[in-house]
Amino acid sequence: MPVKGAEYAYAVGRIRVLETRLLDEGRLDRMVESSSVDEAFKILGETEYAHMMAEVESVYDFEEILQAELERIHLLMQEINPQAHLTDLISLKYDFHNLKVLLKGKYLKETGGAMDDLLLPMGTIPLEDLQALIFDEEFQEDDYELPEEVCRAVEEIAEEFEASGDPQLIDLSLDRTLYEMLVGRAKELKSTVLEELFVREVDLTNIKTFLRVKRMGRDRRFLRRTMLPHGRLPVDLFSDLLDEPLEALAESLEKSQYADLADVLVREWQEKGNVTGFEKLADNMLIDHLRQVKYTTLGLEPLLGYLYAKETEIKNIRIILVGKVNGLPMDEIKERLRNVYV
Amino acid sequence: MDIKVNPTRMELNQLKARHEVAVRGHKLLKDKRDELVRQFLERIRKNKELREQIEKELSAAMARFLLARAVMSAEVLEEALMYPTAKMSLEVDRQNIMSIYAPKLSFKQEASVEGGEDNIYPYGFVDTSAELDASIETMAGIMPKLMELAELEKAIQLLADEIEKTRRRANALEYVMIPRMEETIRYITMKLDEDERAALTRLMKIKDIVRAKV
Amino acid sequence: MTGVLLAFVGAALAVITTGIGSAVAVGMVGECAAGVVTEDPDKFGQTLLLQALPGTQGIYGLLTGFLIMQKVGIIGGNLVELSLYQGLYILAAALPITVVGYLSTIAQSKATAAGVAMIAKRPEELGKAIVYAVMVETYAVLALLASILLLFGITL
Repeated sequence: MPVKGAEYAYAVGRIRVLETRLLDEGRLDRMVESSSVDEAFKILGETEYAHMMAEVESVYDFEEILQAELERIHLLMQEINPQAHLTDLISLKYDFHNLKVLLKGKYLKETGGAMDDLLLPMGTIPLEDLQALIFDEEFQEDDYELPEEVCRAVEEIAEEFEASGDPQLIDLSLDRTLYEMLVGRAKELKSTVLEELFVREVDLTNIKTFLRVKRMGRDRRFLRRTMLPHGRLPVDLFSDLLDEPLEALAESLEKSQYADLADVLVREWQEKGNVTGFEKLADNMLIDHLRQVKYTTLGLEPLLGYLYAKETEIKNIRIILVGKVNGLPMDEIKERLRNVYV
Repeated sequence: MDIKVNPTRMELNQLKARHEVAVRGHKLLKDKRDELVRQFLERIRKNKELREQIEKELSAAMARFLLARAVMSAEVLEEALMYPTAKMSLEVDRQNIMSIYAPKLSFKQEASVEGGEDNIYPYGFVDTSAELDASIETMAGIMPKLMELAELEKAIQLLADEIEKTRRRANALEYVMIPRMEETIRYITMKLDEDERAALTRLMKIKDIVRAKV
Repeated sequence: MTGVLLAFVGAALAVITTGIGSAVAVGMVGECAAGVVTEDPDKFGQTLLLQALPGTQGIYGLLTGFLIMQKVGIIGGNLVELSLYQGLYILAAALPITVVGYLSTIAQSKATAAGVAMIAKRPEELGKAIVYAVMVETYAVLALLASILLLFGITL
């Protein structure tokens, strides 16, 4: 086709309309400032969430609404994206979530439906296939269409877990595999937007993990196991910094694109002992990256932007509603709200 | 009051001995009660302190947990916590407080992983919030205190029972047994005195008769 | 007869390339518009207007084709005999609209698709969206003008 990205024309058209229905800052603010959960809920009812809200009985089931909405968006993406394997990469994290649940369930010898509630339907791999991979003794890789990396990771975990019995290993190992797959696939598919997005995610997660591991007082070997691969910041950097004071982190990130964030991180950590602000800024940085490419006329970018915007929006609504239900002060809620995409 | 005893001297002696025991017992019980109350009050004070402290820490931990919960979806959070790293084993011993056997709790945290004794975090770092760490840490830190509190509260409960029992016994002795014994003693003494007087009069009478015949 | 053949090639090229360009462009903008209308059916009229814009180049191509046909006398029914050079002149005269017509359509389709996306958010700005798209049209018109002037300049 002579026009680059022409196959996205329909999808982009739809997304542009959907974007107008995203919750803007004003509405979120109104929700934060509402006097009760019910009122916040009512404000939510004026938006595109309204049709989901008819099905729940009480305000306290908001989690169901958010879940249903997230599911709907992922289905929509699969439906309208001509190259669904790209947006599938974003949904891959749900497959890995399901894998974690299934693996832990297996090792806890959980039977019946105890863990079924924790499985998410937004993944790209059918749940039955995942269940077969984990529970079927005579599992044959060729019978299912599972990514090779996933099968390998599950095998490795089975071996390691039998030796050590450490449940954290399941999460750590799967997280690594996930990001290896994400960055690898984005490169293969030559999608620079996605690659940049995932690389940033890796770096930001690594910075945060570094701090958390440091606080837990664990050693370098453990740190190396928690670090995600393919980041722009080398793992050695973190490993060398582990025994240094925290300021060293800010100094060594001075020249990178994460300089401002590292600054905030260090300051916040020393003043308040938490990383709430950093977590927010990290999410904002990803959204900002997508915002930069938002005006690409045709292509994957608007779709990605919308998907992320929606995930962020759902996160924001959750923060507000959890806060409201539990009577959190307004500024504590505001402190945690992520930037909006519109 | 109806007293059914043989007003004999032997009975009287026995009764007097019992009375003495009862009085001594009563005094001992009273001492025991005082000591129990002292122990009780001491524990109550400690309990109050501990409880307040724990409640403060727990509510702080809960608040942090809430914040962690706000930025994570329910499924992700539950997945993160579904398989704990540490196993805890609890041993129950007995401790003797004034011959009350209160449970003594001691627990051991066993890591399910070698070298992971200090690892209380069973989850990965990618999609969990750092606020979860803080909350888990506080929760884990509270555990020994919670054990102490449980132990203390059980002891207090047992002590209260024992105080109640002791007080009832002391009261029974003080207001029922001892007065009743004293009554009986008085009755027997009076009866014996009566008998004695009767015998004396009889003797004097016989003496008069004998003397008249001579 | 080689001259006539060359003139035919010129006319055919002008119609073919601009036609393909316009079809592709109108199709793509149509897809984009369909996406918008899926979510918001009220936007049909506005998007239709935009969809039509990249279609004009096809008409310009056809117009040039017609002029050539008239020149060589097909339409009148009596074919004019052309020398090799005359044929080449006519072919050259068709080139501006052939090339610019095609490329400008592709360029215009992008601007128009962006316009459709803009309408999705701000329906009141339809006029501006049209202006942006029409700016590209200028160059197609200029090319058409050049082609026509060249054609008229050829004496048979």
